[in-house]
Amino acid sequence: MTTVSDELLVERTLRGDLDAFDVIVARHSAVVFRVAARIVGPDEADDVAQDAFLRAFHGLSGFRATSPFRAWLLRIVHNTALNALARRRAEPVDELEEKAEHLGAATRDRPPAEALEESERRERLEAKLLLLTPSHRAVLVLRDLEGLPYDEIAEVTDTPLGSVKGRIHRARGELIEILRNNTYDWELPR
Amino acid sequence: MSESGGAGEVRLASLLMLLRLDAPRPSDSFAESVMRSVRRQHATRSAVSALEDFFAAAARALAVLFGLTPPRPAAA
Repeated sequence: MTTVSDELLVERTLRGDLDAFDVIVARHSAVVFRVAARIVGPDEADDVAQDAFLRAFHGLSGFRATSPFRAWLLRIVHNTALNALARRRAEPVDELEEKAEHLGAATRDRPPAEALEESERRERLEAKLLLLTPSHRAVLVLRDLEGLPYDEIAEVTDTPLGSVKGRIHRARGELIEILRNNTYDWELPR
Repeated sequence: MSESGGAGEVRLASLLMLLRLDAPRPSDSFAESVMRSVRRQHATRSAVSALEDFFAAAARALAVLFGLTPPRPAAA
């Protein structure tokens, strides 16, 4: 069975075929949601992902098939997510750190084997990810969690390719420092 | 990059793998909800566009009626 390309679905949508956009949503909703959730956190992910799809729908005539549709769509998600973060009333850092600590606080005194359970570690790590500066978090999510190639990340974030590599490196460094300064043992070499 | 920096990145990569394995997923109704909003907004825009066309045509007809502009030549 052949799969209809995104570009063709865009053309059909622009001619008024909303079922074609339905296919686009079904095809990309998972990645759109994941990226939104990783950047803004789980509470706002649904709103941001939905908003991004609506913006994409209304801006479809601006899509040029010279670049992949996914990159164009993720650029909208990226911008929508960063705007949502900027609008959000700045939470005091203490509060954020408290939130990050909260996840594991109740279990800190348990035996190591239990405390190191994978799901708990994952939750702690998710909370730490939210402490990164938004632009660092975005590139880290796109590269290390979504596995996007550098050139696509450059397109999504509207950043020169060389700067993307540097930003990803700094983002990893920032996260490593956050984890090292944490009381929880992430087994990171000094 | 220092040796510990490189080792730190390697360790970080394995930690991040945990997140890759358990990614957040949209609810089953997410796509449906998006399409509901899309269809609603599309219908609103279409209605507004039709009204704009109607009023533009009415304004042209009135202008012709009162002799403000000559009638458009009939399409070939």
